[in-house]
Amino acid sequence: MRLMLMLLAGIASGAPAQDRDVIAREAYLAGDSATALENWSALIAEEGISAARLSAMGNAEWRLGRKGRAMVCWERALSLDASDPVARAGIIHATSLGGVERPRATWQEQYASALNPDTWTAITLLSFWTLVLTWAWPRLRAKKLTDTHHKLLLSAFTLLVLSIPGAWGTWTSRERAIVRLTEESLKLTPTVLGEYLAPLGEGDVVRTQRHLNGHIRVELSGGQVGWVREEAVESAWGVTPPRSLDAPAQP
Amino acid sequence: MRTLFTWLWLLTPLLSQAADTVTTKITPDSLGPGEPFRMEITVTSTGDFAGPVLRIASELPVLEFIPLRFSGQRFSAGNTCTLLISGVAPESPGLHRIPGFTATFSVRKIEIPETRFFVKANEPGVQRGFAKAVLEMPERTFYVGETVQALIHFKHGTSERITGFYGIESRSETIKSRSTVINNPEDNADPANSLSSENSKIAAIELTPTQAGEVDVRLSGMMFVEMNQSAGQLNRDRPFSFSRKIKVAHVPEKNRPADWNGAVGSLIAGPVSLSNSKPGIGEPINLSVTVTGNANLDRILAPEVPHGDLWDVMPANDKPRAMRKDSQRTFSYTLIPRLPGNLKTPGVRLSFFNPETKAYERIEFAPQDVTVTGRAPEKVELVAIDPAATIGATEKASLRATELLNPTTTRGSTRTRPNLLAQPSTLVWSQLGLLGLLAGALIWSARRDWLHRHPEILRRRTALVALRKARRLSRKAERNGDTDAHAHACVTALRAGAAPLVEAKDIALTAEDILRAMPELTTPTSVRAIFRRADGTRFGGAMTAETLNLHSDIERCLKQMEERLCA
Repeated sequence: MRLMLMLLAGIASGAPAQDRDVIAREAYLAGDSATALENWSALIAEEGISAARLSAMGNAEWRLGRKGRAMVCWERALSLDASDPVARAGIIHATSLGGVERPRATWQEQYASALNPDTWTAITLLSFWTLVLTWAWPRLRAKKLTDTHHKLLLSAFTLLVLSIPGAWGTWTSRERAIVRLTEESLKLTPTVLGEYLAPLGEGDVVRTQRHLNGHIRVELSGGQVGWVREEAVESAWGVTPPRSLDAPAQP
Repeated sequence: MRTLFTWLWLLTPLLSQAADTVTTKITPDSLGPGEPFRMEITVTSTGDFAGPVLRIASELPVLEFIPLRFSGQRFSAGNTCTLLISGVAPESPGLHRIPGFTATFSVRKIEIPETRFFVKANEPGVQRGFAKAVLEMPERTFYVGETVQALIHFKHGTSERITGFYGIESRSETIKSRSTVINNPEDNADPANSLSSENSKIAAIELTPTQAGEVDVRLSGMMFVEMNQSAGQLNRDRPFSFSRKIKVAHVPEKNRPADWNGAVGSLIAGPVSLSNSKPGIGEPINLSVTVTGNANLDRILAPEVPHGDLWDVMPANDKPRAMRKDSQRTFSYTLIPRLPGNLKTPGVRLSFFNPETKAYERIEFAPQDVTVTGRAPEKVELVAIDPAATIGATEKASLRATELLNPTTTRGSTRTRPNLLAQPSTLVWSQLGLLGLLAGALIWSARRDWLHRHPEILRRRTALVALRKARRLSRKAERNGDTDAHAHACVTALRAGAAPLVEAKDIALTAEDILRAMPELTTPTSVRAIFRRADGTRFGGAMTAETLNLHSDIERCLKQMEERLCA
């Protein structure tokens, strides 16, 4: 087994991009999450990010015991593809068995999870502009609205009304972050001397509010509100792998 | 060789036998108390020329009773240079002297000798007073860092009136100055009483001693003086200067409070404001306190408010000087409540040294009532916040649960573009921009439709433009004396102006058409005459009738037309 893994690792170091995915998945199935992670990270650097790649990385991170990084990967995978089964299963697993706390989704967020965030945004914008332009264009050309215009107006209005909760749910799910540090606690005030309120676990998802004095006001899944240091959390949205806590912050 | 020439060039001023003659002259010869005079300094070089003067204004002595100012006037002819210095004679009669000083010329420095002049007393029964500036400062010991307000009263004379002042500055190294309030009571005064001393102007100067000991306050400036003379009014600049010694001491160390932040003066606690009196627990609120008074407000450090059991306090912010009143200073603190309930904000105290009472005093801002909503944090056992403890590990299963789905192939579409809502401000502003464009297009469209429904507006507008253009040409032709061009321009203007009134082409209109369209025209004869001249030039050969004298009549007609088109 070890020999096989070493061979796989050796191949991985000089493997072409098209083979990395196979090598990574085989390493993951063989239980070598570190090699799998290395190959998927290399693939992201070479080809770009995708929901499937992020969710696979999330699985590997979880197996390595890095709950914070795993949750960031899965949440970001869902922000790219809301139906990604691997990410969904990972989050369900983490919240049910892994000790991770995640705020209950509101009805708008549940509604929004039917489509990708960008799809909701695009539908909302498209229906809004169809509505506006269908009304405005005949006026610009000094003509009256025809039956076709009225049908188009009705369709666009209906689509807009249906898409608004989705866009709203997308907006609220955007304002979430994942706790990255293990020894972090919720504070009463955004200062060094802030009083301890509650413990925060690595990988816990919190709803973010405003920033002050290097802290973010957050709401936990239980509804408790307090402050946490900015560097202790990472946004649930993004098109990059989780940030490395070892590397210095980018200027 | 080159070095030798350089040395020779450098030694030239020393080797040459330079002999400078310096003469000073005071004009007028006979001076009354407070009378302005002019001092001429003439420097004649018999050897090498001393060159143009480089620096003199900063070298002039500052005298308490004889203000001097270099007017900037200098005359050079050959090896002679004359400098003009304006001054004011002292009030006390007798012999006075202006001490010698050094003037820096381009080649060397020249010593200006002492100058003496005599001030004679006013003749009995003759009231002759000149405008003057008087410095008013408190008579007491001042303190380092204190802001002392000095007032300069500009008093009118019997035949002179001060209309303004400028350039007030301190020339003491141990005093910092700043012109603050310029009080000008004369602006609202009765002009008939403008020469009375009650209506004098006042300039307020803030002086801050920076060193203890006996300090020389030296102030100088210029004032505008309006003189009533037999030949009429004459305006002149006149210098004024003050030199006064004051005693400056350090604030006493005895009984100095620990929280004294450098405030010296007299302070009063102003209003206290709170941004939100019903915050939630952990929600920041702003507490602003304002101090007012006559003190060195700029030099005061914000009073410190310590953290407590009830409040977390963040350091105070202060408004920039440009955004606040001169006699006020406001400190804003961010307070974060740590417990719910009816609380009071922390007290803010400020100690200051009062130079009048020579004692330290303290002002205190009253704590404000705040109702904090929310739940108090639960008391947590220390063992539970042990960072080494694994959170939730007791009830939850291990990380090696098997519900994770195995990843499928990760090949396929990839992206590097963030989600559309990742930068919401960009999206919102771009949409607002597009909406703005659309709104602009709709407004333009509505205007176009409105003009389409009212074509007469466009016709009148076009006619008005053509009329004004032709009117300009007619004026130009009239100035040039070009009768043909004048007649043609006038007729063009009349036709252009009348065309929208009769809804006809302007070129087809005759004089009678225009008079029918505008029956109110007061000079129909002139209209006919100008048409005859213009049409005659075109169709009847050379015409000699002079129509330039009709210009004013036609101008009146065109003005009437323009008013009707604009109506």
